[in-house]
Amino acid sequence: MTMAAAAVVARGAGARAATAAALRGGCGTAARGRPCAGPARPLCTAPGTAPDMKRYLWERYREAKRSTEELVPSIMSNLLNPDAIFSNNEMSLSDIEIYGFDYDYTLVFYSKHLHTLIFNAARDLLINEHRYPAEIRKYEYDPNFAIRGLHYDVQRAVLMKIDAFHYIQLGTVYRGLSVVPDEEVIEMYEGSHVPLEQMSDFYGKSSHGNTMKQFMDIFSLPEMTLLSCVNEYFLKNNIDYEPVHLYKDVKDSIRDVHIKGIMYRAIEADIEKYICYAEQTRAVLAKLADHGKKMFLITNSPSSFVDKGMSYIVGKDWRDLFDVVIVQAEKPNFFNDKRRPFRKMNEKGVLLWDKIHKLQKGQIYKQGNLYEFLKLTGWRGSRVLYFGDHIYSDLADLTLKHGWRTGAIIPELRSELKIMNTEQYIQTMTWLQTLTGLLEQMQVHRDAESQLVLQEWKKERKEMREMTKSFFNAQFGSLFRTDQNPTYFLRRLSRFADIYMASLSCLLNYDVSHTFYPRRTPLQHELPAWSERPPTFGTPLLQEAQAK
Amino acid sequence: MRVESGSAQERGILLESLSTLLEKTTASHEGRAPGNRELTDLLPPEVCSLLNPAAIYANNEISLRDVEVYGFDYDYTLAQYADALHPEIFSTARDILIEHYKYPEGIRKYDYNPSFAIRGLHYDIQKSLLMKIDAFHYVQLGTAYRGLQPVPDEEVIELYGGTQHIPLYQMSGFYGKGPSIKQFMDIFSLPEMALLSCVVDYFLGHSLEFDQAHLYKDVTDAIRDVHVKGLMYQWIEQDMEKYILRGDETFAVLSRLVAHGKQLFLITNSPFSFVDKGMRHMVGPDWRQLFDVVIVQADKPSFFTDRRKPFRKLDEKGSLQWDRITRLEKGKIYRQGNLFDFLRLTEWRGPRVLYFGDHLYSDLADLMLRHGWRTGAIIPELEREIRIINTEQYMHSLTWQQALTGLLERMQTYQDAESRQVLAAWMKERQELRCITKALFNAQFGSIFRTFHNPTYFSRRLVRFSDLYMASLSCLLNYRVDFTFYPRRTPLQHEAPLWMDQLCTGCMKTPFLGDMAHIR
Repeated sequence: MTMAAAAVVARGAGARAATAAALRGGCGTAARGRPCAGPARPLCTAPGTAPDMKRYLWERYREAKRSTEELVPSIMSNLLNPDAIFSNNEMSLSDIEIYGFDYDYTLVFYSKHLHTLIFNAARDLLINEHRYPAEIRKYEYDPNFAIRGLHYDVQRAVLMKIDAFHYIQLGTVYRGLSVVPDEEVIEMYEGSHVPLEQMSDFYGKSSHGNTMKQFMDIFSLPEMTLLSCVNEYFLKNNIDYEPVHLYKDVKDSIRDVHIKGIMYRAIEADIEKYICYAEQTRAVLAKLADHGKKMFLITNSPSSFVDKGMSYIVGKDWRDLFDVVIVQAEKPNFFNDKRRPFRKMNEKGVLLWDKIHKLQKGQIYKQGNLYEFLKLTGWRGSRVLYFGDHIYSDLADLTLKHGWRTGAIIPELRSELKIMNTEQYIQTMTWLQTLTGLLEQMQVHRDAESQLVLQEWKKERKEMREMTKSFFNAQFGSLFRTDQNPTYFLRRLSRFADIYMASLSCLLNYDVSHTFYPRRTPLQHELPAWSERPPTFGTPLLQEAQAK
Repeated sequence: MRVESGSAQERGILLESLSTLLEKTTASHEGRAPGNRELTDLLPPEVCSLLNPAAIYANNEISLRDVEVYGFDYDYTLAQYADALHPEIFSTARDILIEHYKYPEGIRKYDYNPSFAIRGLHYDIQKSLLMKIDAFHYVQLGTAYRGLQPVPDEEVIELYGGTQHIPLYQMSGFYGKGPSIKQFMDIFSLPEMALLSCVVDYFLGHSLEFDQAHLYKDVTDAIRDVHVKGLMYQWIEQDMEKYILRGDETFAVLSRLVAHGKQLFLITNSPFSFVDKGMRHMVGPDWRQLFDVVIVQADKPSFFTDRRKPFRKLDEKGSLQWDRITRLEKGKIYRQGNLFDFLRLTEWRGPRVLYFGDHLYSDLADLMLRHGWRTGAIIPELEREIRIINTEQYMHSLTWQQALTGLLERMQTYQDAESRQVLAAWMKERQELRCITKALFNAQFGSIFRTFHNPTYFSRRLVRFSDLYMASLSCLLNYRVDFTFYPRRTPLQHEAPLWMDQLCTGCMKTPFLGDMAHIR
């Protein structure tokens, strides 16, 4: 550890002690290292009179704030690396013999232009084929409106963010492009909890009477935006409409952009415009091949589209890298439905009649199912690491039903980590947490003056929460967090992905025998970890990455 | 990266880590507790205090000010039973197996071992395996038992298709009952698991052939008979002082809530005469005056989902009345019923109701998931586990274990022969530390909340289905009726952990032993 870093840590340690002393009101002192067991220390008594109480509370506030501010430089010296891989489960890459990949947003990374293309094409389909008002052409795609993982109430036409406990995050409920007031939300849902029967099902769909649909696909970003724009138009122009029908029309239009090949033709016509980071993907695949790993590809995309993309990324001989290539797989049915056979395609995409007895290198197969796949390859799930961007279509079944190791590609991670590395975010978040602790401790003071002070602190806390939310997205905040709880999206991510990263290229930063050790997250009744020296233990830090 | 080609700085880091390891290894070899003295310096002075076993822990932010109605289960919630109850259940069920089901007389030699099993374990009926499963459906190696004998790790992995993972279709489902794997969630299931293991142990030890499913069913039926035939009720009723603990604290909780204008209700699966005697013991003859609604033989969890079961009124002697129920009256006793009628008749709405129970599935899951009620879980094991967590031995072991894991993660990039030897030694030490921390809780199965690293399946359900959890209802006496619980913000894997460490806001938000000296 460098002397400068040691100095920072030393200062941080002092500040930490000061923070603790401030928050605890300086009551008593325990000998160094001795647990505070045994005879109870006298409780710190606050002054009894009202004016003194007010001064006392604000003094505690100022002390806590000063101590918290002193921590910021120390935290700023240990920033997180946006190119790191984060693990939910301990996993060693040395156990992995076979790497599997999805295609869209996993092997291939699309530029932002693609969402604009999808939005515009679907909007035009709505006008030209579903006879929607031509005026909706005035709406343009706003990439900063929605985030992934949101839920949509099909019956009520509201888009919202739901946490891991099925609570709606108030302030993130939108009808069209306008926010729905908290009181109206509470009235609609009899509180802010969504009953299980109304929640999206295992695959995020609204079905069997469920009214909620979860948008999990990265492709769904233009879909959510178009949905909100069209809702907005109908609402603003006082047009009476059935929200379920509108939802279906928008969904069909977006689907048509895929099915009618509009998107495929656009990408193929200008590959360099739409496909990013090709060289990194090539490097990942080459690295794995060099280390003797087997690889396979399972994608729902069609053969010609994948061939052109992979030829661009890797080269004409891209199939030499893969032991198995499966297109039009129809995930997630591929993982569940045993009745769908594999079919072989020739170079021109024509289906052959051969019965498939083995899956051969260099060949292309269509459809099929996982059970046949495992039988024909002889691979065992615990030796396979499969990467995908869609938590439900790509990863859920593999994790839950087959025990495969899984890696999630979450592009939003990069931008969120950069935000979390900013000084403004760190300052706001550290103070927010300190203030919350202060609120919990000081609420025991019930006199009128104290209550006024506490109300002011609660107001400040609320303002800071709004601020931290808008750092990520003005309407919906972070993909991973509500004010306090993880999002429903994150709960699924934690459950269905052993490791997660912003892009496949993050693998280049790790040796093929690397072991990922997830950090232990304490339960509410467990003490938080305080392994501080050195503070960089177990954290994928930016400094180390830059040093390499 | 080869160390030969590394920078001088990186070699310095490795050497520093090596010397640190040598110091700790030397300390260990000299007979001192591993890292005992060095780890003391790792614990920041005056920053963290001990956890309070009598505290309430929050998974969700909740203000008691918003709660107008408090609901309670009875067994292990209002009534806290003594540990003496479990050997009675075990012995009686064992005798029923011998006398009614004609099991070998030899199983009478087994006595109840309260230290064998823990709550939340899963049982694979076909394989006769009792095991601990984590939140990701992985079996914790070293916690799989057939009878009273541990099953080797290699055998476990082979049994489950070359992995520790249990596929979803085999797992216990929403209520803990799977096609082939069942989860023991009930506190009453502790003697059941012990008896099951003893009987399997006897059959295996004597090379007796048996059908696993039949044996499981017989044991389950024998345990059920102890309840259904009323034997357990008789013991408790005959010696309340022996079996019911802290009745005065339960009374204090209830009377305090009523004094603050809260409405109370009781929903229990137990029969009225049993509940009546217990409540008289804890509260007094006029206990029903505290409750706005009393429902017995409710048949939870069906009570929360099945709309077809009507309420029926019982008279003082437990006889069923024929009245059609148009409202639920104070002081009356009702049987069966369902939640939908309950809500219609009381007009209570989810966010204003806080319901306490000990069984995560029967008591809390449906209320939380389907009706948005606030829920409180009563977890008696919490008291003992927190005392263990508060010990110096546990804190040192865990702290060093985490530091060592961080060291392993960072130093694994050095792959030359000597470095690999060092890393292998560290991994061995880490594994030893894990076994030490596991054994502190329970020699066979460890903590009910943790596997080596991941939360248990039980924990995941606890976090999901309860807003609050505590060791007993009396913990409520430590908080004002308008207290707000702020859960500690637990960092995600891609969030900086340093804030927790340096701010120790987690500690500050944790009710400390020292700060709550007035607590029992």
